[in-house]
Amino acid sequence: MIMDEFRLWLKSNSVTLISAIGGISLLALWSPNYAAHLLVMMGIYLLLSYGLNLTLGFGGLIVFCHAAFYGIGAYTYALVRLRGGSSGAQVDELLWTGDWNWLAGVLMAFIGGALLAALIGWVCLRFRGDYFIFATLGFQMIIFVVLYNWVNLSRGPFGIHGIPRPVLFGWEVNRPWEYVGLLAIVLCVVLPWFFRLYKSPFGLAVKTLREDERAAQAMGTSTSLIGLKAMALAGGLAGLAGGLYAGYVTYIDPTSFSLRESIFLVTLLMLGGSGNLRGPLVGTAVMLLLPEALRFMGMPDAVAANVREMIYGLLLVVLMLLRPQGLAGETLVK
Amino acid sequence: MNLFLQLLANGIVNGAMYALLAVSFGLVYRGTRVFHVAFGGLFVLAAMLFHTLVTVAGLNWWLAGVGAVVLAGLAGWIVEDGFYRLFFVRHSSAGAVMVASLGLAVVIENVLALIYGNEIRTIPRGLASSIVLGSVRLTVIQVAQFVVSVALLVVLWVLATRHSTFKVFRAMGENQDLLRTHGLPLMSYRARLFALSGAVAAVPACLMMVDVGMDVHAGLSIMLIAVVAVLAGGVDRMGAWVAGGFLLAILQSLVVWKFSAKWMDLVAFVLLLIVLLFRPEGLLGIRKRWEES
Repeated sequence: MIMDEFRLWLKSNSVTLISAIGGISLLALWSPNYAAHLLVMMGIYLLLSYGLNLTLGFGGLIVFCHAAFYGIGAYTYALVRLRGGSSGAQVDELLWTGDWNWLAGVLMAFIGGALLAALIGWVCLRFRGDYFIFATLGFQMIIFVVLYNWVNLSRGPFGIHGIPRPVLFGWEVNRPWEYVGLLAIVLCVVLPWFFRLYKSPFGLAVKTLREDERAAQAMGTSTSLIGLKAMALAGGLAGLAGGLYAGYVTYIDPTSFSLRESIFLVTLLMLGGSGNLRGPLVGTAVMLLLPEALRFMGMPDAVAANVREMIYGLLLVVLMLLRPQGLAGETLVK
Repeated sequence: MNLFLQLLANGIVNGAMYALLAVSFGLVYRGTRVFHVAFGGLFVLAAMLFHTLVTVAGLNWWLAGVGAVVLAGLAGWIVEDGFYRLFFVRHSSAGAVMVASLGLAVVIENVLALIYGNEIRTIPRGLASSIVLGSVRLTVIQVAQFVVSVALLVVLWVLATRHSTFKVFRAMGENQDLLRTHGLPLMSYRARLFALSGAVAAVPACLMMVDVGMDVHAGLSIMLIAVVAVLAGGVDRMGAWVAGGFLLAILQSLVVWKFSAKWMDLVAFVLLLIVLLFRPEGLLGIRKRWEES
């Protein structure tokens, strides 16, 4: 059953997948490690965007704190995996380190993200519309301030370095292409399960949050509970992505998980089209390759960052103006 | 104790400016139900225009302030006419307008960053002389901040209670379409409201610029302050927005005293959260029936 969903996904996304794989293999001929890096980042963002798709796409809940879940996942992974004595003085400065194995690390990252999302959802789901958006935006800022200033937990602006890479049954994942393999395995485990979830009665119940909440309540569905579950699952997936990211880059600091990142994720999903299987993939491919294209156009780095942000902002405005269905309706990219 | 009084005084001075920010945001939110996130962008724009008028054009502070206020008002007008209007005529949902407004804020921020750079900008000036009242020491600039802000708040208060335009603004917040049936030009009133909001926000922008300077990324936390003051105070009363502004500033000041300045942003949002959880209509808000809201 689950594999059917996956096969359907492969089929409905064949064009995007083939063109993405084709483009990246061309790149791989030129610079294999660069192509591998792009693939790893795309894999991580696929996890993020398919998670966000559940809350934003299916639930119609515009969550502006997805990067906070991502960040908590990354920090959980880092703290759980770090070993005392190995990484120099920084471990002594941290509140707690675990020295657990990789599987426990990503599992804890998943749980950390899910718990935080459930907590935030419990508060924010009392509101709808612009109050909900603003509340999630505020939580994003809170988490960022905590990560940035609670130096004992996260070393604040200095960041945590030397995070252990994944070790799976004696397979130490070091090189970029090995990491691509690991991500492919994770995606093949997680995504089919998630696609199945989209179509399950639970997924349909999440949709009622977007379509007509009052009608769903009249039918005896507890919409708040459904919304809470959806947020927890999406948060867990984001936490998992964060854990994989931390293991890949081995250095994290709070600036990777700021409001900018959340805005980026929402733009990504709205651009691709939310509420279906294809949108997140298209959005991820476009939004991750766009900055690379800007880089090839030879823009200086200082200017490029601002120009990129400007493009994201403009994209949000134009999308809201021309395709507000990105918020509500199920839209396909045509 | 001395430190407490000093910080309380600082809090009250900041509170006057926060109150202006809150009025600026609250007028728009109450009048049009637009969650004006781009407000933060307009605020920084006003501060940077002021900076240019002082350092490049060489105007004196007061003249430059007036110029910045006028230009910011114009910017508010343009934002309504060229941006929010498009969403209004399409009957976009409140969430869509808010997300688009956030996008506009990001665009403004980055355009300003390209022009002015990412570093903090300050007005070149000598050391400000200070005034000592008992155990409290305030700089002349702080006193000016307080006097100007309170004067403007009084003017706005008198206008809001006496002038018919503000009555129209309130009515617009209840039902925009009904305005047209009374023969009132809805779009013109909306544009006036946004222009007024931009102009009011420019005053604290100039005052903060003179005092400590500003970088182009300040917009979002300024927006947060204004929103929290309005929502925590209560959306339906102007007095509540002002009270919210003062409360927030004093709380922030006390947190600096008891803990550290780095938790200041946290205070704003925690205050809002507590208010929303236990008194959703705001501290001084008016409790409404479900069908009224």
